[in-house]
Amino acid sequence: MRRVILILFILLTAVNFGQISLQILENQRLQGGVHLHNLGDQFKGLEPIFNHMPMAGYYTDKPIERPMVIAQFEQAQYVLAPTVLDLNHTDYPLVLFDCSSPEVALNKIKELGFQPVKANNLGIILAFNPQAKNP
Amino acid sequence: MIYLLALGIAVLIGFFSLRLIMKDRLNFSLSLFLAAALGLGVVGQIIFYLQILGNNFNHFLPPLISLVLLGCLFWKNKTSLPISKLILKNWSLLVLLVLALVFWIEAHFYPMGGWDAWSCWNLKAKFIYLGQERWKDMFAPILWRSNTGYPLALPTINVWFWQWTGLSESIPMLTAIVLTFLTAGVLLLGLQELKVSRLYSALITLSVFSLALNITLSISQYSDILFSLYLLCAFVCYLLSIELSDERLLMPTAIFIGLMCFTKNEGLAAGCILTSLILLRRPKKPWTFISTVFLSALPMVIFVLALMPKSQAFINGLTSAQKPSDAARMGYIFFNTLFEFLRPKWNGLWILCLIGLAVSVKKTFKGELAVIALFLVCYMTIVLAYYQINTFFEISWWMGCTIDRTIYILMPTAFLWMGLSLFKKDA
Repeated sequence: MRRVILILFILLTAVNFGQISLQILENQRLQGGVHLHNLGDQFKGLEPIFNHMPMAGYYTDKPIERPMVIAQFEQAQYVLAPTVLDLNHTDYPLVLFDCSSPEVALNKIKELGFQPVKANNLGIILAFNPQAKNP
Repeated sequence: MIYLLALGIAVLIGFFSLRLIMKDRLNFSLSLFLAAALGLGVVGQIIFYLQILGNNFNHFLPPLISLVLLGCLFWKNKTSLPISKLILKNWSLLVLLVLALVFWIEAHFYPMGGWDAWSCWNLKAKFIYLGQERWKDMFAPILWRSNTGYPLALPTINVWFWQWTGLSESIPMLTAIVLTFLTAGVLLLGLQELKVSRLYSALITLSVFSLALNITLSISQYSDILFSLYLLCAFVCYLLSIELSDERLLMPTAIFIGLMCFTKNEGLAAGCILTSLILLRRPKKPWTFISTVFLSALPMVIFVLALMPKSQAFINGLTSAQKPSDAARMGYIFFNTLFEFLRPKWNGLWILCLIGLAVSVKKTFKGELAVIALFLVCYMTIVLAYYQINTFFEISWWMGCTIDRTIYILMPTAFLWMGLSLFKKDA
């Protein structure tokens, strides 16, 4: 019986290695695309602006029940830590707008009376809230 | 290179600490792997204590204290690292090289790790490293999505490396590779030291650590792999203490149990169960054992008493009228857990494990191996009871996200159990 189990272990290991080889090839094929784990790249470069800011707002018009939307918010939080981001609250001097389109974001910024400070080519806009008290 | 230097300092601290307790009683290769696990835990705890005392991350003190500690340990041991023993004659170590290569390649496809890495573990590390006097903002209720109640062993280990290399996203990835490699190494060499042949131990290690799901979970940069590593180290040291009839080995067992408590909240539950089970076996110096566990778990005690915020993701289903804990939930938890072991993603590994245990049933529950069996039953009972009592999350979603990770943590220990039951030479 031990010999049978030994053979099963050998077979299983062979299957595992076949599977992991396929997974590696598939990952290599997909490399370069935007995946779940590099959603945070959109927020890189903003860190110096948030320097020493304890809290900032993060506004999105996308449905936050969708995992990709909340994943993007969580990665923004990771990239900009130790600044704490308050989801869908805009009472802060700096607010990030991550909207379904740059037009929607700019309309919202205008509606709130904020001033756009910086934008990137992926539709993320950073705005200044002149009414906010300094934290 | 600087990463290797930081890792080397941690390994040496662990090595000389182990040598201080055990002299050269332990197999050199195994003691190197145990030393790395121990040393990383120690430097992480140094970072934690300094953070608590100074309330601000100090870039100068952790390396200084670590080097002073290393100097003291070196002086106390009055011996150097026996480099001559590094000549490797054990062919089965090649298994670890193959696995390390696979971990390395796979990890590079997930540079930021999995979801919990960026939202929980690595986020906490960034708060410690960059937060200055605002580092405790990581516990702010607004960050409830980031599991603010989880302890800080893994984040402090990543901070240990950052202080040497500077802030870099590749460090948590390298740490995940190292921790996975160490777990595989402790399983392989632990089995061999406990009298399982090189062939069997190599095959068991290969089959567990070449599974695609295990590799993905291991390199996800979660604390699960650290928990799994310390649990395995604790069991290997405990079983060796009986195998070699050497109670000194209960000291590293206790240290690893304490380190495990600081990895996850479930680690604390696992630590309490394992400590109780070992005490039931009546060690000669129970108070030394308990006090070592306590000292090693002290960061977790401090964390729970002084830092851990109240969980916002908890509803007591036993008392809640709106979200009661009912029989349907219990049935779902029970059957979903049973079926989890049979799911194709495990490639039949659990089925093979159960067959192995069933074949050697006379040994499976005998003597010291009964401790592993009892531990696994008690731990799973507590985890499943928590699923039943906490009705904050919809159970199908919650179990869908977490049950495989719960089982994965136990896998190296379960295969240590199976390997010893079935393949131990004197069996």
